[in-house]
Amino acid sequence: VNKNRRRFLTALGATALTYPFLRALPTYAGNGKQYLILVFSPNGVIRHLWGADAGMTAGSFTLRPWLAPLAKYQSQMVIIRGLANKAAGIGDPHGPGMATLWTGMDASGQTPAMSPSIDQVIASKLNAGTPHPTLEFRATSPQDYQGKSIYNRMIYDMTGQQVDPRDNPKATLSELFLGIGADAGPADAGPDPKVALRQRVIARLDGELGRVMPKLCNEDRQQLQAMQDGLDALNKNVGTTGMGALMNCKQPMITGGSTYPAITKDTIDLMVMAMACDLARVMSLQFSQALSPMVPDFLNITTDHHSLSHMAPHRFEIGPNAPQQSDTDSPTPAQLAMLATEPAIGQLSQIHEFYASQVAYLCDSLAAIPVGNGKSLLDQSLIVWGNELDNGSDHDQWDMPFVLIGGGGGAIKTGQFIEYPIFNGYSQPPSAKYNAKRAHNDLHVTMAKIMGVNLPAFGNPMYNVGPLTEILA
Amino acid sequence: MRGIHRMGWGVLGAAALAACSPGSGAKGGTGGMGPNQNAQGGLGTPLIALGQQMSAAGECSAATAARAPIRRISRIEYNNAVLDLFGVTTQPANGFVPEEKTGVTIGFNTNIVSAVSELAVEQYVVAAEQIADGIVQSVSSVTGCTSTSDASCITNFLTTRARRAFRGTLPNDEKAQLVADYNAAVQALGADQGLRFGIEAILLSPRFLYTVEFGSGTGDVVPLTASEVAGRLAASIWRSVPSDGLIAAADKGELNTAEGVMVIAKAMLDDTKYTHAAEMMKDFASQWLDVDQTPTLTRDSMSFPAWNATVAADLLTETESFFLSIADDPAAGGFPSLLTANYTMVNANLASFYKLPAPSGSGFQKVMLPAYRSGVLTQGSVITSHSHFNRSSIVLRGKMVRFELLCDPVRPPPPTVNTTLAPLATGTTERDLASVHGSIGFCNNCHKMMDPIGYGFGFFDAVGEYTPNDGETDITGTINPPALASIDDVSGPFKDPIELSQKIAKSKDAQQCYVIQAMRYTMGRIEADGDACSAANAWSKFQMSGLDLKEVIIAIAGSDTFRNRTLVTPGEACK
Repeated sequence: VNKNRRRFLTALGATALTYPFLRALPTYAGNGKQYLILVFSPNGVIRHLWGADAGMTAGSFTLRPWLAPLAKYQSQMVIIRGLANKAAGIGDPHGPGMATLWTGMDASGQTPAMSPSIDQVIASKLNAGTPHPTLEFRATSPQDYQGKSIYNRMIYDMTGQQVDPRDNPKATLSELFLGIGADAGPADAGPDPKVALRQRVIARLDGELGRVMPKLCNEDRQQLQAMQDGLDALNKNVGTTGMGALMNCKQPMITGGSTYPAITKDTIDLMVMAMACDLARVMSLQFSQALSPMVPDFLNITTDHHSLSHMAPHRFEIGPNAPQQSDTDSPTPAQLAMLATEPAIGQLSQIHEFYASQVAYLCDSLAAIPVGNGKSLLDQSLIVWGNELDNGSDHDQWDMPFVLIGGGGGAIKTGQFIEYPIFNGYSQPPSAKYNAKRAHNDLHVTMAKIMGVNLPAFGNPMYNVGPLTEILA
Repeated sequence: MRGIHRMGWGVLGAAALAACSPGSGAKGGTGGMGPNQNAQGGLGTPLIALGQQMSAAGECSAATAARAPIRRISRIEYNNAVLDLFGVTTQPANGFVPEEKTGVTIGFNTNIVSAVSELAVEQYVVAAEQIADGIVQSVSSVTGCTSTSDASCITNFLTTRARRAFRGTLPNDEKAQLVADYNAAVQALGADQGLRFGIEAILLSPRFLYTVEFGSGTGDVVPLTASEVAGRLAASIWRSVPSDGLIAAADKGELNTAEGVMVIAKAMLDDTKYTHAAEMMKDFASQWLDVDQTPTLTRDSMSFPAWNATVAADLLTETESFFLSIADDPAAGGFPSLLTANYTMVNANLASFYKLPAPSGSGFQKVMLPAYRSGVLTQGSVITSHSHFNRSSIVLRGKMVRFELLCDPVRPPPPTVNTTLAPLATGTTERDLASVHGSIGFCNNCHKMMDPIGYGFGFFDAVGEYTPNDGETDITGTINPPALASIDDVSGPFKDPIELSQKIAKSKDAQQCYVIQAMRYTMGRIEADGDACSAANAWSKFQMSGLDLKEVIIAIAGSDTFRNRTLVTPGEACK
């Protein structure tokens, strides 16, 4: 299957980018300024605990436990099921799942996608003129892998290179907010001695680079040019906010704590304030990493998240416990009784509910910042929360868990639970995901549309059907 | 076309990583990478023979050197430098953007691949600001000056530190400019801000963050200045900047000859008061053996209840201590002992993990091994780093030996291959499963280079515990002939990992590979044609020294490619 698919793709080439029926669709741009936030949390889900159940009346739904911390935002959510990640190669799917989550372009093994992620494409089309085109944040757990790998990079720039996220809240505070006053309001920015010093140092470095670079051969000179570019960007942004800074813009207070909850809170506070100061309108927030080795001692859990995820029920069980342990949407009482004997299930719930509570905190923070006309940053934002896997125990990727939150500037039909036809893969091999009707590439195109950007297709064009029109207002 | 006989994929780029299909390896050029083809361009000749041929032809008599691209310092180098220059003990670079690997199949961390990102620049700026802040808070203890207002003392402090920070080279005009800029900053912003300015100017200078070298003289290959040699010595052996003493040695002309450089290099390696050299050796060992991530590895706690973070960290310390115990003792047997030693270094915690008798003293002590273990290949760090979360791995273990010890990389699996491990059915072993590779031609082209080596480790589980009763019954294996070396003195069957280790220990092919790995690490780059004579000479010295682990480093430091560079022609393509 896979091989043929690739050959077909090659044959089609770029012509697949020009589906006329996609171009004909109207653009659903919201009102005013819009913000996009990608959120990632790791290691897949357990199907009957994540998502929602359709209610008795049309359109009603009840959140399942892992999304319960977001209950008060239910009317501003869209829960989506039935999108396959067809781009992630079959194999160890944690890394490829991460590399394809926002790129929608094929990746497998240790080889990343080499294709831009949707946030970068949207930001480049929006060209909002903010100090930073995009900002990438990561709340790194103490156990996370420190190097750069396919498992811990989800954002890919326009040339397909991995983008390093900001994962040190104290440094980020100084990198992004130096010279922005600690009191709210755009008018207070007085002279800051740190700003004057930084500008003077950068001026000296400009001079020094100007003396050294002409002495070098070309490739070496380009290395220093990159440093010059970085300094120029930093200098341009010292003490400046974006043109669209809100009254709440100020230098955020952070705890600087080293526990994971302190790190996540600081990271979210920095990100929300970066939005209020209009430093960028396209952001991403990565909790830990794919294959997360976090040991959530703050939840009194001493086993790492990834190990726990493999103690969860499988998609289908081939051993003596089948089908009692199978991860179905509606377990029987006998299955539930069996699951109740596995302590890992409760611990996984604690971890996922922690992540959901952090997303809820992000929503709370955005909802508290007015943008005028009775609207908040949350009303103007599109938050898209994804995962590298579907069922974490089996490494499935044919029913990817996605949650959208926020009004998207009025471009989203919120308060929905949408199930696209889920290919019944319970007794099928992982490759059965290619039979799924819709892939998450359609979500990428939909995200772009909500942000006012028309893309005929995104990622691998072979996986595109078209925008998820049910979501568009 | 001449060149060193092994080239990593790093020089070939992703395009060379085509599918592992029969006969798809490119021939000629910089190296055919097909698993069964000699790398034609990379010279299928043994390194030593290459050096001898070139010497005979007079080609090695004139100094040769490969292009050393401008290199941004690593996080370890940054931490060591700010410690040595300013007494900063907080390791501020730990939060910096991590390094990349030298090449696709070369596992050393280096900042030589991609250009610096905007985020990395921001991190440098913020770190410099924080360090400068700290120095102003404790000005007298760091600078030795009474206060920030003692301008002449501060000026002297800044210029001497700047020369060290810039790896020995502070040209007079740059020195004058630094002083003038510092004075202007004091004038405009006050004495405290002036000192901050001076510190930040040093820590953000391209001459600190990058190795900027020009050499002196004319010709395609020019000698480095004595100060630049001091800079390279400090970078290679200390992973830091030169000390005042090293700069003084350069100024006295002690680094003007190969012999002089080697004397200093040996003194640096043997200096036990200064821990940077020992740290460098440990860092090299852990990256070379691909075990540097051992402390972060997790294992299925149901199957491996003995595994925990302390064991994981101790296993890395074991390998590092073991490596140092051989490097530091000329009588310990050098390179072969790395593979064949019948002892290791454990603390009480690891002794219990390995089910060995507890060592007599505290900390890591030498203990004798049982007959089924010898040297690094049977150490828990190597075994666990080349295993999966809940099961062992024939492929990863064989791959480690092939890549790291024989410098003979094979391609990654083609992207269309499903690499998910099939579940182990009752009565089936990992070896049974891996045998599938042998029955599919295009899989076997590469897997025959790895799997038959990995078979030898069949009695070690995913955390390195000895489990001979776990189902696997056959741990005999074979090393198939290396594709990228033509001294084939290593191929053939072996009966267990002990015999495998013995074969590698006495193999000239593996010994040459070790020289190349040491060169990649100490030079922070991939080898190239211009390194051939130097590598051959280093290998010759390595042999004459009885395969002494420190002598390799010393020989590389004395080599032409270390003490020379290609001419820099401004505004033209780098050569």
